[in-house]
Amino acid sequence: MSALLLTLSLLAQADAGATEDFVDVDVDVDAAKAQGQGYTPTESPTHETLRLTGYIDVGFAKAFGTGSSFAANDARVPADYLADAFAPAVNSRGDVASVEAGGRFTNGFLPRSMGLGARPSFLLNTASFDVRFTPKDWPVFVFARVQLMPRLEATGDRTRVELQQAFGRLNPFKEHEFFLTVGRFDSVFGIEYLENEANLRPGITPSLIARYTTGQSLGVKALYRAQVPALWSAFSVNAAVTNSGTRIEALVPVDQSVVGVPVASARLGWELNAPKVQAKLGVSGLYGPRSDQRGLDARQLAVAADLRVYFFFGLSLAGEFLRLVDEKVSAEGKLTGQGPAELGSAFDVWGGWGRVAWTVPWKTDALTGVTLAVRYDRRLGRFEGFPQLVTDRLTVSARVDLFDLVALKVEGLFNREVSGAVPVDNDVFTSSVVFTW
Amino acid sequence: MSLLKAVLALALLGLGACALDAGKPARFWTIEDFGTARADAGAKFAGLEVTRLIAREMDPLPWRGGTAAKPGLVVWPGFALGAPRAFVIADLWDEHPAPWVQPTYLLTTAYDPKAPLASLLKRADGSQHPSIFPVGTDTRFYSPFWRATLVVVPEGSQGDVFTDATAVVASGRPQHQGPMVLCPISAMDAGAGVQVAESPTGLEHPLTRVPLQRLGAAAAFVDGKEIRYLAGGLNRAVVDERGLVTEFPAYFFVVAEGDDVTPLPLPPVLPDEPLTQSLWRRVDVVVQPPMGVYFATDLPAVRGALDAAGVALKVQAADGGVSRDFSLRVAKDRACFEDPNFPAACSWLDGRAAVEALPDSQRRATGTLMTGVMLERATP
Repeated sequence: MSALLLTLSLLAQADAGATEDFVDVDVDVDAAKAQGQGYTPTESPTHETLRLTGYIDVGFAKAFGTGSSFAANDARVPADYLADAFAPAVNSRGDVASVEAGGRFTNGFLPRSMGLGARPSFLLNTASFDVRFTPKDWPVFVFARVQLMPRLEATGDRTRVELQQAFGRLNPFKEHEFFLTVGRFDSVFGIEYLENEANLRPGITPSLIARYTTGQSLGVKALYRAQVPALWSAFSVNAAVTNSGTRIEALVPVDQSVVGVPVASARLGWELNAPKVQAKLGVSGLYGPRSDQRGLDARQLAVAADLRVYFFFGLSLAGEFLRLVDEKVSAEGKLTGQGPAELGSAFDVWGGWGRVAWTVPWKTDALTGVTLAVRYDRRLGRFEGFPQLVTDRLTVSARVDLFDLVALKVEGLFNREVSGAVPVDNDVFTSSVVFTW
Repeated sequence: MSLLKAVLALALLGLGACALDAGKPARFWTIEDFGTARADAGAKFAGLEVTRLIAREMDPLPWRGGTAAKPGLVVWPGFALGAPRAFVIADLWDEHPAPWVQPTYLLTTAYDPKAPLASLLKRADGSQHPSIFPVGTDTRFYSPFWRATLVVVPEGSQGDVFTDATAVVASGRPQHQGPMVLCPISAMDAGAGVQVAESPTGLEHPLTRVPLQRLGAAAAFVDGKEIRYLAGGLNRAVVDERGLVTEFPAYFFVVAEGDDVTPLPLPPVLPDEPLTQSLWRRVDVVVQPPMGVYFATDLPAVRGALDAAGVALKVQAADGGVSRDFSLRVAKDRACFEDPNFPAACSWLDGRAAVEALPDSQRRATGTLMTGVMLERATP
């Protein structure tokens, strides 16, 4: 039941925007639902003043082919405009087995890479450390998450350190679910950001559209949620104004607004909390200047819709649909979180994913959860002047939770280049053991 | 959503002044852009007048005089290693990274490394199967510099075997790297495409009147669509290990007052081997006394432009005793025009070494790159 609770509580937080800082699963969702209140996360029922939490994600992965999405006999450039480099993901961060393009020029549309190629290897995906502070008498919550990511690079072993989140949050009205957050925090767009962390994700790897929706950015956000018990419902709005929108840090710089004008994003949500079924529906939008340019002449625009349904016997359905457009740019240069690139291009993408998951409705003291999931992703992306790449992926995963502290996960990713991209063998087998404290 | 968009649009407008340096515009223009803009005679591309880039039928032909009997790219005079040359400008980039080399796929029924282009696949009508370009001019990653990649298809293949580059690569057919080819796209459709402008007496050097070879016009496919390009020749560029085309300086004469630069209608000084060094960085050379320009024949339009530039340049009147090869050459010191040993007495700025011997203050590199497609002397 804990695994179910975990899944439910995670996914219930989308509308609440009570995001990353509520990884605890010590809230009885069933009881809350029975009271017709929906699930409202709280910082901590015991009002601990300072807590240290976190997780360690150790993986073992094997990618096929060369570990990248780039065909060996393809000389066209930029290579990352002609293949989906994000497909062969090996961990919950979306890091891929390889981005080796055979010396071909790339233009800043790359994920972070583990540099594995096709070699099977153990990986220390993430060591994540959370610090949270909750004063007893004041409606303030402070949170920071530091992550360490050891990687073998061309220059040798190196551990990247990222202050992934650091924010303070106010809840000025005790009788209202209204939260004002300032700092670097999770996206408010869509629902997949709720599963960013390895200990929370039912499977292992993010979807093919996660790169556009799950980034942590720096700015201000506000959440308001209104409960309507008579309808077993709650309505919410979660809005943010940030430096860089909702793309992952590999694609856009986060720590500073490079254009001087923020990006706005928001999600409107409705949730139904009936005794036998829970449903959540949301629509999201994003609008602002492109985050990879210094000029204001090009904008980014995105819309998304998401749906989740949970049944009392452990079955859950979830899906998200995205449409995103980057306007044409005229300036030289392009900025990403991994460094500068040569030129920005107009870009548009359609995409989405749907997942069926079943949490086995029994447990023991040791075996605290078993979840099986199948997800289908599809992405249609096109850079100006290049073919539209249509790719899809079938992801099959299993998760076993032990003692509510250890998650054992295995996953197979079956990537396919449907059209526009050269078919390559970039399937992945990956696994992960996540220790949470 | 629309309300949100409106509010944010206002925010963007209001806060626009806060934006940091947006970076210089990185622009490029192709042959089709020249043609589209030609209706406006005052249009300029990277400071170059459109009338010097492309001519419609009956438009005046710069340098040569008279009107164009056939429309197309304007033939420029130039000098390299002291000799007159002729070229057309096919593409221009301004504040743009150096262009990348893309592969172009040529279908062949057999590959012979000694003669890689000997067995190119033919269509039923006997014409060559169009090349397959991976990009057209609708991306900033377009460049006219391609690496020929020979793709071996079965003998007897019929019809258009491939029409898009992804299918070529996905087919897994054997590939062999061939020569560099210079193929500026002249039309993104299957029409006639833009060619080179000709005078009533044919295609010729605008100053020396030496007949020139025509550039071939050919078909290619881009993403399933048939287009047109100019065949600029083999091995016309130098490429580095990163796949970037190497640029060479081309010296254009200008007058300057402070940062205000006015290009003069004088033949530029080209790289020493312009045929194989066809990506040029425009470098302005400031013309100032005591330099002078020699005219072998009277060229009223050019003289008018030089006069309008406001610089007193000594201009030699027509002299039938001196070859037209010297026409519009710039002398370092116009006093040589009066020397009995003229033209041998002159120190001409008609080669890269001569220009680079000038003080650095007289040369200014610009942000402009261009494709110079050389036109070779026609064989009798």
